[in-house]
Amino acid sequence: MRALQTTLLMLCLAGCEARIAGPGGLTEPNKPSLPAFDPALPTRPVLTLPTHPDPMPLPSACAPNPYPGAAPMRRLSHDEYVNSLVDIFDIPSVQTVIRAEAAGFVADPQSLGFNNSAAFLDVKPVLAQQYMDAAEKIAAAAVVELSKLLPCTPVTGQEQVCATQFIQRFGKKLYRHALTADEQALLLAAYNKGKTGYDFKTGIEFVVFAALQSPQFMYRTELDEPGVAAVRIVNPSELASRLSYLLWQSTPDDALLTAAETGQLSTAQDVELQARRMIADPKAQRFFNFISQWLDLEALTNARRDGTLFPSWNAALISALRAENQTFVANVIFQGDGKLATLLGADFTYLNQTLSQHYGFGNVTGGTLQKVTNPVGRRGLLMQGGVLSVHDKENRTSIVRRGLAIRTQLLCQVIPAPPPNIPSLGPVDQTLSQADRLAEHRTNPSCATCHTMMDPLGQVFESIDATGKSRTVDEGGHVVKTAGEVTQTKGINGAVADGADLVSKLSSATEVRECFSLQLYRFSTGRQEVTTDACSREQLNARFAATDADVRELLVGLTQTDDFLFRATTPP
Amino acid sequence: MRPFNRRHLLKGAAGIGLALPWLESMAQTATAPRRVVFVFTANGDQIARRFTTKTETGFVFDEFLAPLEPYRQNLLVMEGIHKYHNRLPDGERADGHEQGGSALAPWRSGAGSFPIGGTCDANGNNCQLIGYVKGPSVDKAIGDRVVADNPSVPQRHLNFRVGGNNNNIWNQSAHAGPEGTQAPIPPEVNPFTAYTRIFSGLDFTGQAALARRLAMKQSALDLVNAELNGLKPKLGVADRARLELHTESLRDIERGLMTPSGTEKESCGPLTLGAGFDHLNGANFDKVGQLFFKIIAMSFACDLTRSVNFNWSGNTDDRKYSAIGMTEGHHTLSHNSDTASFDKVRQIKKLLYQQTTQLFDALKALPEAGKSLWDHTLVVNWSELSQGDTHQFDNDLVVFAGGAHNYFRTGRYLNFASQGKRSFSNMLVCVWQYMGYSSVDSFGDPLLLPGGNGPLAGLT
Repeated sequence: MRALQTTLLMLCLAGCEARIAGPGGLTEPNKPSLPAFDPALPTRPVLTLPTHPDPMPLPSACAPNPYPGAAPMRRLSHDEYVNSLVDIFDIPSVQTVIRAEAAGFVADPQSLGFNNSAAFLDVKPVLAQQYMDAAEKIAAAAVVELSKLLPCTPVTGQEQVCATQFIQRFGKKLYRHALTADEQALLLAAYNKGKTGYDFKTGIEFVVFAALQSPQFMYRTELDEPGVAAVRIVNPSELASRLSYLLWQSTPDDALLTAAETGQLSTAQDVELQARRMIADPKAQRFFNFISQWLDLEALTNARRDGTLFPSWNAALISALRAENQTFVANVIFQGDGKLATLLGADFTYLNQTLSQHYGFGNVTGGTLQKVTNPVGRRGLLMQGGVLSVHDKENRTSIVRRGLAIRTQLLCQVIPAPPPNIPSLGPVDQTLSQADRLAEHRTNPSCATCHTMMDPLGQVFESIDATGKSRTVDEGGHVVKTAGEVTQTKGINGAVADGADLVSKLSSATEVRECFSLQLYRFSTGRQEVTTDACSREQLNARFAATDADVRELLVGLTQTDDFLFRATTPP
Repeated sequence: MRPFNRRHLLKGAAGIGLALPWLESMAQTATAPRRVVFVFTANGDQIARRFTTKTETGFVFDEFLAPLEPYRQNLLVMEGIHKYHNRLPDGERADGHEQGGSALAPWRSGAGSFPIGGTCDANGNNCQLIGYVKGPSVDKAIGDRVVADNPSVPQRHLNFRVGGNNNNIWNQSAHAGPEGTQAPIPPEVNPFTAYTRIFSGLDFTGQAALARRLAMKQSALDLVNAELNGLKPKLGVADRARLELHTESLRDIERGLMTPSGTEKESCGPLTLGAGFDHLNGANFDKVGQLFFKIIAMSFACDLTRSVNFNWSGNTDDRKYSAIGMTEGHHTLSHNSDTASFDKVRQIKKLLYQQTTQLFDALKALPEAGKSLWDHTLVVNWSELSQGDTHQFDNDLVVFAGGAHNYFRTGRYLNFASQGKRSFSNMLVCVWQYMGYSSVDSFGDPLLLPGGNGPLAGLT
C-alpha cells in the first residue's frame, strides 16, 4: 500500500509542471499531468514470477520511474468488432446484419482462457475473406435508407460535399480519431469509384465497405516516433480507446473523443473521472463477457445432455441459465456492493419461473428474473447451474473438470502435464461412485500427482447434478458425499464440508482476490503477465485490497496503473 | 453438371476497366494436380486389434478397419510409427494429446497460454504455462509451396473441423509458422459459410452484379493495402509482422478474385448443400463431415486448393456417439483399459473410418483426365495417440489412401517398429515428396527425426 501511495503521489505531484506533448500539442497548463520518463532515474526491479504454487510474488516497492509492460497492437476481437459497429450504426436492421455476420467469423485461438489475446489475433486469409464478406453485407444494409446514415442531403451536382461530410464523421467514429488528409483521400477515392461507375448511393456503399476493412478500424495501434524514449505518456486519443475497449469493449463515444480533443483527457484524474462515468453506463455490463470467458460460460450454448437422463435440458433452459449468470453479475457488480466476495459467495440469485421450477426453489412465476434467496448449500456464482454444468459430461457430473476449474480459474495455478507413457489402469469397479473410482485412480502414483490437485476440489459440488439441480443421490444411485479438501494453497488449506463451504473460503481468500485481479489484468492487456508488469500489478492488487475487493474499483484501478497511463515504446 | 463459366462473368469486370492479365494464363495443364487431405480422428485406437493377419499383401483388417476393405488396392497401411515427443525438452512439450494433436506441425511447444500441461521444477514450483507449437503444419507449408509455384490456385490450404467453436491447444491442428512462432490457424467449422467463402465469386449469375462487386472489392483492397503500407513503417517489429500477414492474406484474396479457377475443369460446378442445420450440434457430426467432403472434392475439381487438413474433431475429443449406443464420451472411454471400454473405442473408430470412406467416394465420383480425383489424391488418416489408455505415441497407425498418381506401391501393410526411420516426421516427408517436392527430406524439429532424415523406406 505504501508503494501505491508513493506512485499516486508521483503521478499527482511530480508532473504538475509538465506539459503533455501529444499529437496536436494540446496542453492544459493548470492541470496536474503525468510525469515523463527520466532515464536518469532507476528503473523498477525485475523479478522472476513463478506461477505455482505461489503464483505472484510482487516487489515490495516500485522505483520512481513509470515501468509499463508491453502494449502490443491489438486487432479487435470478434466481440469488440460487433460492439464497435453496433455502437456506431444506430440502425436496428444494420445491427442485426452485423451480429449475424460476425457470428460466422472463424473463432480466434484461445490463450489464457480468453479469446482476445494480442499475439493470436491476426488476419489470416480465411478471416480476411470473412471480413470482406461481412463488410459487403453490412454496407449493403447500411445504404438501404441513406437518410438515416448520412448527416446531410446530397445536392445534385455537388454530391461530393455531402459524401465528404459523411466520410469525415463516419471515418472519425470508425477509426477512433479525426481523419488525416491521407485517410480522407483514400475513402474519397473509394467513393469516387462507386459514384463514377454507378451512382451516389453506390459511392457511399463503397466507402462503408472499404472503411470496415481498414486497418485503422481493425487494429488499435499506438505509434511511436523514431528515437522516442523507452517509455512515453499515452496520448489522449490513445487513452480514449484504451478506456473504451477496457470498460465497454467497444469504440469511444462522442464524449470520450471530445474529451481527448479538448485536453480533458490529460491526467490520471481525467482518466479516472471518465472511467467512473463509463462504469455507470449500461455498456459497462459488457464486463460479463470477461466473466463468461474466464469461467468458460460460452460452452453452455452448445452443451448437450442425455435426453433420457435429463429430459428438462433444452434451449430454453440453457438460455435461462445464462440469463441467471448475466443478471446476477450485473446486479452484484453494477447495482449491488460490487464485491468479489458477494460475486463468489452471495446467498441470493436471480430466477424466473423456468429456473425456479428447474432448481426447485424460489417459487417464482413468469419470465422475468427476480431476486431469490439461495437454499442452504448453494452460494454465489460458482454454484449456479450454468457455471457448474459447462464442465460436466452429457450423462453425469465431472468431478475432475469441476475441480480443475477451481484450481486454474480461481487459484491461477498450473496442472503439470501427465507423463508421456502411463501404465495401463487395472480394471475399475464400475459399481463405485465417481468419487470413489477417482480415489482408486489416485492410488496410481503417475495419476495422483495431478488428480490430488483436482478431485478433492471437484467432489464438493456433487450435491449439484449435470444440469445444475440439487440432489442427494448421484447418477449411479449412491448417496452423495460432498466432503473434500483444499490443498497446495497459500492460506486456505484444510477440509471442506461441501460446495458452499469451499466457496465461502474462496470468496475471502487473498490468493483468490489476486488471481481474479490477474485474470482481469490478462483479459484487459490481451497477454500474459511478464516481469515488467510487477509494479502495475502491485498497484492494482493494493487498490483491490484497500477497497475490500470491490470489482468496480478494480476496473478503475486498471486505468490508473503504469501500464495504462504509460507506454513501453516500440519505435520502428 | 453445369460448369461455372467464369470467363463470361469476367467480361463484365473487364468492361469497367479492371486489369485482367490472367486471361492469358488460362491454358490448362495437361496433367492432373497432386493433392493431399489429412483426416484426423481422436484418441488413438486399440493396437492389438488392428489386424488379424499382418503380411505385406495378405494383411487382414480386424473389426474397426474393416470399412476400408473395399479400397484396399489403393491403401498403404502402416503401423509402428513413432511421434518421439518424449525427446522434446521439458517445458517445450505438451502432453501426448496436445503435442500429438499438433503432429502435423512437428515442432516444440511454446509457453504462455494453457494451465494444463507444461512442466514444473523438481519441487513442483515455477510451472510454465504450455503454449502452441512453434512452427508450421505440413498442410500449410505444402500449401505455401503450391501457391508459390501455381499462382492460379487461390487457397493455400483448407482447414476444417467437425464440431466445437472454441479454438484451443486441444483442437487446432493447423499452424501457420514460421518456425519459432506460435500461430495456430483456427479451422472453419461451418460447411455452409465455408462453401460460400471458398466459392465466393463463382456463384454469381448476373454479369453486371459481378462486375460491380469486383469493382467494389478492388477499390477496398486498394484502400486497405494503402493503409497497411502506411502503417507498417511506423510500427515495431512484432506488430509490423502481423500486418505483413494481413497483407499476405489480401494477396490471397486478390488471387482468388483474379484467377479463372474452374472454368475449364471438367468436373467443376456448383454444389447443392441442402437445408441448413446446427453444425455445432454433436448429433449432426456425420452430416457436417459429409458436407465438408463434398466441398473438399469440388475444391479439388475446381483447383481452388491442393492441400486440406480435415479433422473429425479436436484431439482428446469427448463426443458421445449416441447413434451407436454410446453412453460415455469418446475420450472418457479411451482412458479405460478394460475389455468393454476397448470394444466401444473400436466401434467409434469403425464408425469414423466408415464415415471417412464417404470422402473416398466423393473423390471417386468426380471424373478427371479419364480417371477420377481419387486417382490424383492422397488421403492421410492419422490420430494424436497410438492408444488412449496408455497415452502412448510410439506405435501409430497411419493409413495412406487414394490412387495418388500411382506414386506409392499400394495394397500393402508395412510395420516400421524395428526400423530406424519410423518417425511421424519421416512419414510427413513421404507426403512432401509425393506432392512433388522431392528435395524435402526433413520436416519439423530435428529431435523428432532420431533415425535420420528422409522418407519412410519402401513406400514407393
